[in-house]
Amino acid sequence: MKRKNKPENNNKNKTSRREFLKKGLLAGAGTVLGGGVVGSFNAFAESGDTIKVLGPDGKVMSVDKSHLKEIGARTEKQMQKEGRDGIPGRKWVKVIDLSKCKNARMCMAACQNAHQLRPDQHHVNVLRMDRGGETAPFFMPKPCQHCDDPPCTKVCPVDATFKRQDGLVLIDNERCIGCRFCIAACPYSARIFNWTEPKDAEKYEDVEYNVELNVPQKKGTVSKCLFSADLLRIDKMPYCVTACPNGVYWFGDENENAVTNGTTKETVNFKKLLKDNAAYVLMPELGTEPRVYYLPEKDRMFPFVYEGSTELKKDKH
Amino acid sequence: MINHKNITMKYININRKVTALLFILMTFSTSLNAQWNIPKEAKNSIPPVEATYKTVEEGKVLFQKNCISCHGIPGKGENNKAINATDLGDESYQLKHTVGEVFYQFNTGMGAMPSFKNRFSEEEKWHIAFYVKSFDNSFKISGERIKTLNANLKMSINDSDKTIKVTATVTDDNGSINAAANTKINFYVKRIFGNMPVSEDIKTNEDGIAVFKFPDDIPGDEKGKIKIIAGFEDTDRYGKNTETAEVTWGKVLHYENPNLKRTLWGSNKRVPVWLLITYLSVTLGVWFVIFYVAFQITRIKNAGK
Amino acid sequence: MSEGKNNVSKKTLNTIVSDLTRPIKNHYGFTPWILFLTGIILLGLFAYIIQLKNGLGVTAMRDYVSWGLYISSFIFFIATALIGMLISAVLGLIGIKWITPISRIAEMIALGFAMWAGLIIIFDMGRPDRILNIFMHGRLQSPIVWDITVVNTYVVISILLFLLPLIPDIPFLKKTMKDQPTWKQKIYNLLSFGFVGRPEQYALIKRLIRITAILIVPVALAIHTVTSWLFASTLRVGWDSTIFGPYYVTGAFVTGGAAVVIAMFVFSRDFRLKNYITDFHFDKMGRLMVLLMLVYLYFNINEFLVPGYKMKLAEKPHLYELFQGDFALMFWLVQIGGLVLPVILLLFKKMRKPVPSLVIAVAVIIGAFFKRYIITIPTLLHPHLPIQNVPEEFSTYWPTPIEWSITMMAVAGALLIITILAKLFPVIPIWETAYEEGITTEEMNEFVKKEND
Repeated sequence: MKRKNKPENNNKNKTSRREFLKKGLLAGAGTVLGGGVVGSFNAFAESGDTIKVLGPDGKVMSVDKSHLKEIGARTEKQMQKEGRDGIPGRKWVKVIDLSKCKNARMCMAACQNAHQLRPDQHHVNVLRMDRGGETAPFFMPKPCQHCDDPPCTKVCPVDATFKRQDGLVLIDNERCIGCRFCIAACPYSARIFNWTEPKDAEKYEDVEYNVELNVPQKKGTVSKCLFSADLLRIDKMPYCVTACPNGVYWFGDENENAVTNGTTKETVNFKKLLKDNAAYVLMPELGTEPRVYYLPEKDRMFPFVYEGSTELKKDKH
Repeated sequence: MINHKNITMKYININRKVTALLFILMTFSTSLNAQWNIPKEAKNSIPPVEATYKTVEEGKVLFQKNCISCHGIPGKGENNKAINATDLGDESYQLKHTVGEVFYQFNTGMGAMPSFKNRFSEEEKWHIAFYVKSFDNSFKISGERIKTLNANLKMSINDSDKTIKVTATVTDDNGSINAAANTKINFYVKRIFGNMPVSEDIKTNEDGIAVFKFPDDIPGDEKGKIKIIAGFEDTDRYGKNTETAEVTWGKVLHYENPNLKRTLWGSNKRVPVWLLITYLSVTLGVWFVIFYVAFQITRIKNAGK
Repeated sequence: MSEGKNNVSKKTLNTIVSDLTRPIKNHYGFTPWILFLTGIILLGLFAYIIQLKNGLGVTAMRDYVSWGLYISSFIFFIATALIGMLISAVLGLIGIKWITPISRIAEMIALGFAMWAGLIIIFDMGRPDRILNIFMHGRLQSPIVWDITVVNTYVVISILLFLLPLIPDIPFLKKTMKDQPTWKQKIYNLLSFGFVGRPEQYALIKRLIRITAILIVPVALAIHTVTSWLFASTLRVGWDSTIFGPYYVTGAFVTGGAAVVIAMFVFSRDFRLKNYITDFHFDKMGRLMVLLMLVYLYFNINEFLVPGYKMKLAEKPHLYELFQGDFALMFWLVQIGGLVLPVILLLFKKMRKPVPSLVIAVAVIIGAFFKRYIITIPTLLHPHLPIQNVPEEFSTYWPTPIEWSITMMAVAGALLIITILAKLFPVIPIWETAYEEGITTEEMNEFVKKEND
């Protein structure tokens, strides 16, 4: 359980690390305003009433309210309604290929960047696991499982966390009262809480809240993986999925029976992928019916190495 | 009062900063920059297969599937600098590495670079090495350079037996149209994030005609609508022209909004009936008694008269 | 006639009234005690303001241990509040006589702790400013909504059950409190509801007490059962248990019983009511505690032995942590020092005397407090999936001074409510005591009237 987070004995690549960070931050920044801010601003009359929105590069910008519609941006009320309804006809599904994960953590960085999270806040967390006994360790990215029988939305007293018709489990930070019952109820530890002011709170202060992005994050409320619902709305794959350099993530629509690899962009038959690779879900015995499938860590592309060791340091007991 | 608050804040801030720093160091400290140690034999090893334009093409297909996610298309600077992936088209790389060394690197892997030893056959691995070296002008490729033809596809749809007939033609420099015979045609259906291949091994005949029987189990939308795309497999020879057709052969999507059911996990507007009845009857029952007692208290005075 | 009665000589109505109302007039030691409680409450308020400003980050809670001292205190408070139901309702309804002098004490404890239990939940909320969302967007599927419903219901019924037996005492108060400030007299006037001691009025009040006493039994069972469901309804190791309802309820009786013993001791000494709360009552409470603790021990054995025997993969680390790991010291202190030893000790008559009873009750109540802590925290430290890639502090928990301050504020607040009630109303019902001494209602009316003239 208790692990020391110490860096490896690699001092040469300080610059590359810095560069990596910069890159990672940029790479994760996705669009929020649909196809992005397009068209000329001058074409419309200014109402003089400006609001702050998130630009396509993740930067906060002030926009005149009258332009909102033209640039594809939506008001908070619209976002709330659409965000709660979900996208009709879709049934989002994620497949995680454990044989390809090497703990690159690009997914985590992209996610944290998109959702205004600090480095210790994880919507998706790459865990070091084994299956007990003498089994070999492996890396396991763990996003929210977006269960079809979600124990978290069951217990929410105010409908702040909810299940949409397209299968996503989202949380409305404008409604959450911070009781943290959902955190206690989630067997996958997929939920986090804003114990203090969120990262860069000043920067996002007046930004319209987007329930499909959980940005701006709100102090005293729960946050969680949203399968990048904001990107799905514009037919794009989630931040983590496209950030992966190793082809770990497949994402798609169960109703279309197809998933697309975030790295190679290859699209395959979803059920065939599960069948051919003996896919499974996490803790099916709990009856949560996850929407995230795992492909076992067979024929691995990378050896398990963590902090210079190929062994998994055991937790107590 | 102010002091106390400041100390608390400070404690949190420092904690957060240290945590963040540790975390960043830990996260990105995998050995991205270690040095390749390529044995001498590798440098001079002779490929067991010949580098031809055809084998280079084979290598390209594999490269695009497996390598561009990190390295990008060689020479275009699309390499992932964050993980120190090399642009394999770069002169500095090409000058330093023979085809044997490229093969070795690909075969062995190091650091962030995975080993592809068991993922491909020996031949395939050499094909990929050929493709990488094809960006070096001094690398010798035998055979004839492939010239992209001016090819076209025509689709005709037969709704009665759900088949698509494709006629592939090539227009030569003189403007005369010939059949594109014996070439592989791929069929895809459009899915939200990409095109999913649905055909296997369909070739045109001597007349440039290929027939594709649409499978029954491909989901369409709520009306069974589906977009089918046909294209040449050998895009280098025939180009990337595709043809698209919309048909209603897909499995009809019977979409039901699961949120309209009354469930324990659903919204407050969809409370299960048994729960609603139980809650209301118990709560109202108890509160009825409470109000009754409270009302009776006000009657104590009357009882005293 | 019970043996206790024989030990105490017959009291006249005059003595009873003056003995029982004396503490209301006498303020010796009252001011320092109130100042002490107010001081703790102010400190807690100050801590709460810091928490409001900086967020729950000032606590030791983090993403994994997301419920901590507040929630375990909440269960403790609810547990303590449950005793009102057991003593004045269950025992009263089956006609046990010796509870007469302690039933109001039990009700006061119930009121004080139930009211503050509701507040603790607010202290634990990340967004207390959004509390109205529960009414605007409440989901009936959530056990929290059930809990809020049932806690509020319990508080209201507890007020009724406190108020109803108080009404026949009001005429005595009205008459004896003439030298007291007018605001006090106004309260008495208000609460008398025109009661003048007519037989019809007695009959009506007795009927209402009976109805309320019956009503409070299922509601009290519900309040703690639903509270246990906040845990048992999750898929967590250590909480995912089918006996959590009765386990909590029996635990609550033990907690509340200990609280009553402590209050009995304090009131009998400080309010000089030794003639009313006698060794006999301590003896009876001691016996009752043995019974309650044995039942609770039985549930404890079920709760730990059964999973401990099987040692399922998911439960193994959790149980090891409790039995021989980081929580072992606390676990065994609570189980042995707070449960097994008290049972054994209270089997001896000597140990059921007031002073030993007090010591044992204090041990039991401290044990009960940390028992809630042990139910809440270790489970959260053992999620199904490992705690990784987070700072070290996420995988440990020990409450910060701010959490302790706010929790102590709740304790002080509950004690303050009890103190205020004890300073406004007699802690022992006058009319019931008089009635048991063989004084008729006519005599009581006579007494009140005579004073009137």
